Amino acid sequence: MSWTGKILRVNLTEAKTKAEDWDTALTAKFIGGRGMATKFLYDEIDPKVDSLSPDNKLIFATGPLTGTAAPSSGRYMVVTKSPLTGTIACSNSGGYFPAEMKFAGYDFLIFEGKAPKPVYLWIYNGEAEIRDASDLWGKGAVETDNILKQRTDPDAKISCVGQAGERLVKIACVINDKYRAAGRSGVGAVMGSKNLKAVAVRGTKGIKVADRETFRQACFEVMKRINESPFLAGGMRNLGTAGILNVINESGVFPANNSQVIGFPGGHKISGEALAETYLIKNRACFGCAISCGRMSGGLKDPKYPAIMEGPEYETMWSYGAECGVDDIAAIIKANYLCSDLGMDTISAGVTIACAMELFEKGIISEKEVGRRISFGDTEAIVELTEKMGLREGFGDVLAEGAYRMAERYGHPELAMTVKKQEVAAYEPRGAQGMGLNYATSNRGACHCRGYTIGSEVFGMPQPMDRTSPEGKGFLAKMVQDLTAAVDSAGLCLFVVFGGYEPKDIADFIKSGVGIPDFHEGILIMAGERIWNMERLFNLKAGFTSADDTLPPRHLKEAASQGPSKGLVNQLDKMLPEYYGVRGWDREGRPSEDKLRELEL
Amino acid sequence: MAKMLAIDPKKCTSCRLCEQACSFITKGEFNPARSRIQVAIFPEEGIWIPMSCTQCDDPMCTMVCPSGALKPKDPETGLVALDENICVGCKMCTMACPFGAVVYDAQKGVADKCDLCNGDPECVKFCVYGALEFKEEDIGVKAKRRALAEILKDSYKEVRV
Repeated sequence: MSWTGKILRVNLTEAKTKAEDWDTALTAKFIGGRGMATKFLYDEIDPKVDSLSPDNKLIFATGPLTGTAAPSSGRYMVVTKSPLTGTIACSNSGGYFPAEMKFAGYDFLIFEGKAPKPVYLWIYNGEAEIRDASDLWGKGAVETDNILKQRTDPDAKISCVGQAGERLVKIACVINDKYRAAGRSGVGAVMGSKNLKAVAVRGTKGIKVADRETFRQACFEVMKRINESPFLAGGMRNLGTAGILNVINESGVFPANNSQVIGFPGGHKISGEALAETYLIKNRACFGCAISCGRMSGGLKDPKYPAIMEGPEYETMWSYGAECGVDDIAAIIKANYLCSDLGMDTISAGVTIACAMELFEKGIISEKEVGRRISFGDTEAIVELTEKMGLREGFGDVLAEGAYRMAERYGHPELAMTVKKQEVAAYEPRGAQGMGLNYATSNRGACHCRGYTIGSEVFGMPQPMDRTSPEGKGFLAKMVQDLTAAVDSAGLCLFVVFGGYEPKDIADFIKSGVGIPDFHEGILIMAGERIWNMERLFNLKAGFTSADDTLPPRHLKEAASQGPSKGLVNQLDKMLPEYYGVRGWDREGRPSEDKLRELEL
Repeated sequence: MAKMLAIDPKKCTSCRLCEQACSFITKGEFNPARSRIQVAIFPEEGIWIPMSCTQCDDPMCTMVCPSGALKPKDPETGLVALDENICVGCKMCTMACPFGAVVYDAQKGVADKCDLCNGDPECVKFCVYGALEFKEEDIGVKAKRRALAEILKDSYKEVRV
């Protein structure tokens, strides 16, 4: 129950599709979504495979709660081997597509091989068809969505790549419902490499749960808690994700100017409050969400941009804002829209441009390479370079490789704010020690969404911890990483654990939804740890070692010069051994035999 | 005075939990396609409007119903009731309703419309944003209804091809 029990295997090389049953009893071990997809990928591909070759696979994965009324459960994950990092990648997105995929009859879509020419997949109530998409190649996400609704069904939901994915931009994402993104690690480039332009789904099949009344009452309980949560209903619903920006900025955890400084004087101009006073048009929720952190913005006095678009999120306000030294919301909205339409990760794109700005200001690159002058605070540059990056035009072809490869090309990889070649997010590892540890050990390269230690380090949830101290951060990182793996895999939005669901609630939903009588919190968390270790095993087989569990030299060696984090560096060397220890890994960061036995791996 | 389902599109976030709630309580499964309330979404205009039966005072569905399955509005409950046992599945009501609020449920082989959950609408309970309320018809609500009609008017223009 709560699953369709079906996988659609799509062989793009031979243009064949095949529906398969899968053993839903595996829910108890891998939950679903990210967990099940990791198992499929681990079992089916060589981790050393070239990410952009036909031998890589691309998996769209829903969770057991996706498409139910469990609040904020409208998520799916795109799992593949990343062309940006070379690690396993799992990018998560909401919107309407994920639930519709299940209503259309499938829990998982597994794409294999490479289509000889551009195609899209159309699924209607279990029936799948691979169709020509030659004339869609070169079109942005918004137009692709509109055209495919006309060609298939007005109620179809679309997931696609923009030009960036087609052109194998290493930070390309998969965009669904026009504005939502499975954003990180370049999963869109993998989709583009397979000549798969889009997936359109429409379904009128229902999703049943095992114990209806228990499930229903649990929905009421969690909705009530979300409605009473100051963080979720007060902050996220009222001001969107950027509602936390001022707090983070004032806490000494907000980097700026390619992380050369911590703290951004113009922060209040790019905050959730500032957005509400300027370009905010309406709040928006993903499918089945009781938080509605999404923002519809618009009203730019520039005909090139549509009247309304979704965003910007907190991360984008930082990557294109503070990290590029920009405090102009209008410019950030423009860059955000281009990223959405071209299909590019706003975090990586902004941080890559910020890196280029530092390279330019230090005289390492010049007008000759870039084609124009660029410096921190340049509002025109962030927009122009974003478009070039997505299209791989001129200097954009260099930017399209991400910050690390760009900086390495010019002999200064230390200026790239990346871990395992993926750009860092909007939390400063010197100001929040645990976030540094999480970046260093994240299985898809630097990422705040793998383990949000900020919950404890800034917001005191679930319990407060000193952000400046390395003490106990190994334990904290492991706890939030394992929980997040479980939350993702269930099909829930990560935000729900900050005042909505307790881990026990998630376990209870799976118990009454899927119908696993003895499912409980312990099994859920154990599954999260299992998933984390399986991702780690994939990366070890791909050739990663403990030497890759590190941070940019700036975070480790350059003490913060100002603000509440003044004088701090990230003390990764103190945290990493503790982390490996609590994980049951050896000194080389490899899971021990005992740990693997315990996790049944 | 009878209560009505009052809809405020301004508070709606397009989460569609109402569709989930309705299909779950009336069909036993999560299935927006079979929900009696559905949110019309215009992403590029930033407009989302929950659409359901308005329980007309002078219901056209009842007027055209040949079998007597659809009843006149009950002044006590405010409900235009459908008796599924009498319905012959002719679909006349689906053609007559200007809101598209009466549909034909192919699985059950009869018409399907909002029954206000016997005076305790499930969609209202799932609407955390307060866009749906079940309250007495009063002058304020009528003014709001008029305001909604103004918005609907534009939507109708769009779909009238």
